[in-house]
Parts: sequence; structure tokens; C-alpha cells
Amino acid sequence: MADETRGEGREEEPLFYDAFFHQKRKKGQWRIIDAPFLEAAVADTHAHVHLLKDPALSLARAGANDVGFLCDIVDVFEDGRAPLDGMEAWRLQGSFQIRQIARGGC
Amino acid sequence: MGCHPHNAKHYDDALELKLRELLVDPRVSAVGEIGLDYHYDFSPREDQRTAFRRQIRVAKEAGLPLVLHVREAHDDAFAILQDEGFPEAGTLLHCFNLDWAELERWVDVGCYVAFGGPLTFKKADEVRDAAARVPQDRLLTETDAPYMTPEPLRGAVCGPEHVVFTVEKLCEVRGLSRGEEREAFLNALMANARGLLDREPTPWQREQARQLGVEELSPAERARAAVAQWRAGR
Repeated sequence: MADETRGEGREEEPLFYDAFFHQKRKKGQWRIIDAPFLEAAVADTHAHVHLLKDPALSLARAGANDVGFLCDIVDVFEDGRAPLDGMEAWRLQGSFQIRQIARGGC
Repeated sequence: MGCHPHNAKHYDDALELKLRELLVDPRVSAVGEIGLDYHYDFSPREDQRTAFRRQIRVAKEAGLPLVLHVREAHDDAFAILQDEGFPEAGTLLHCFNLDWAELERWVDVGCYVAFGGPLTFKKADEVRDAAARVPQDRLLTETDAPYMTPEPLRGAVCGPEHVVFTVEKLCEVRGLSRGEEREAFLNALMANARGLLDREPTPWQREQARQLGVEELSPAERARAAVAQWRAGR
């Protein structure tokens, strides 16, 4: 849980139902940029997935970009057991969505 | 699962009991992020140190690794860990953004080091230098999503998929270009992550689950429960 990037009005950021990377430009514009080519799956050992606007979509986007392992970091005071309760459903939804976004959108 | 230093002022017996109950879940693989944050001081420092010590003891009892958040408090955090003893299950220094002069002592005692978005930031040569020196078997990657978005995507919400940019930069600072050598390095990073965090329930977790009468669900049972929960929420 870092704090440097909080409060930048990001709640207005759109959700992207695809597997691409979107770079923020001026005047609310977004540009797709190339994803790095990597030879093997990678791991994200520290993410607060449950704090993202659509955790299932985030899991799907991660899977579509060959993130093969992900560890969700939960705060016992702020989050409690809610992320544990939600995770299986997010994974399930994500497994459906990954097929859709891999086909180019849904 | 853990109590962040920002929330240390809330760490009391009741919250520790709640933490212990949640740690029993076999999907929980570490205690964290815990530690000290003297930059924001959202909790009094004495409260932070007390909560940190107590959670180190819980982690050691549970046989789980630690995930550390340390900011402008490395001397105190290191001293507390030396005093309490580093857990055998491992210690992970999360989102490292300082130099090798600081990092060396953590590596020397066997800590894992996770690099995230700061590795890609333009004015972070000291972080890249540190990342180049960490032994391969201690290296990890992360995002800290939704925070710490890596370059070239800063300004957007960070998602777990953004870790690929950090990994690419890590390969670059380690002098690895496309090919078999880089593939072997990536596989080693994944092995590090899974070795530390993709773990079977510890004996403590199994015993606590047994005492609480909590049955461990099979993957199929979890999937069925997830379907039911999803349908209920639609």
C-alpha cells in the first residue's frame, strides 16, 4: 500500500475490456502502446487487486498478458475478509473474461 | 494478510485475533504488508513498532513468511527483526526504492527483494543499480497495484498486468536481452515467487483449521461456491 499515486482523479479512468496497454494522454485521450515481449510468464507478488474498480477484469487482463502468478495483499483492518470472500468469484469471472478480451473485446 | 503500519494504531488484541482467524485460510501465504512507515506517520511510531513486533511473532508462530513495508524507517525495522529473529519461512522487502547501500544488509540476511514501478522511474538509477546486484534467487517482481504505475504508463491506474514493464526493465538492468538466457531468468523469478508464496498450508494453519472445525475446500468445491456467489450477485 503506497500512497504516492493516490488522489490523482483516477476514479474517472475508463475500464478497458481488452488486453492492451493504454497510455494516458492530454485532454482525456488514451493511446495504445506495445506490450513488452517476454519469453515466459511473470509474477506479481504484491497487488491490491480488491481495490481495483473491476477485480475480475484486472485478473483477466493480467492473465492475457502472461502474468502467471499473483498475490493479493489484504489489510486486516481496512479490508477484513471481504477479499477472501470475493476472490473465487473474481477468478471465475476473470476466466470467462480472458477468453473474451483475447478475442479482441466483449 | 496483515495490518499495515498506517493502521497500527488500531492493532489491539481484538484485531490480532481477527488476523489469526484469517490466517487460517489456506489461501493466505504470508503475513503482510507489515512494517514501519515514518514518512506518513499515520500511526504513532510506538504503535507501529508494537504492531510490527506482534505480527512478526504471529508470523513465526504460523510458519508464514513476512511481507514488509518499510519507509524511512529501515534502521528501526532491521533492528526489530534482528531482535525478534527473521522468520524461517522467509522475509520479503516489498517495493524496494532505495540504493544498494541500504539493501545489502537485507540481502545478507537472506531477504527476498521485490521491485515494482520505481525500478522504471526516470530518476531512479540507484534503484536499478541495487536491482542489478541482488542475487538472482532473492529477486521478485510486483506492481503494488493500484499504485506505483511503471513507466511508460505513469498517470494511469496500475493493474497487475503492468508488471511486465517492470520485468522488462529488470531484465535490462541485469544485462539480459531476448533469448534463452532471459527465459531462464524469467523462469527463475517465477520459481522464486512460487517458492515463497505459492505454498501449502503450514502445520499451524492445518491445526487451527482443525480446531475451528473449518473444512478445507477442494478446488471443485471452491469453484461451485464461486458460481453460486456470482449468480447471487447478478
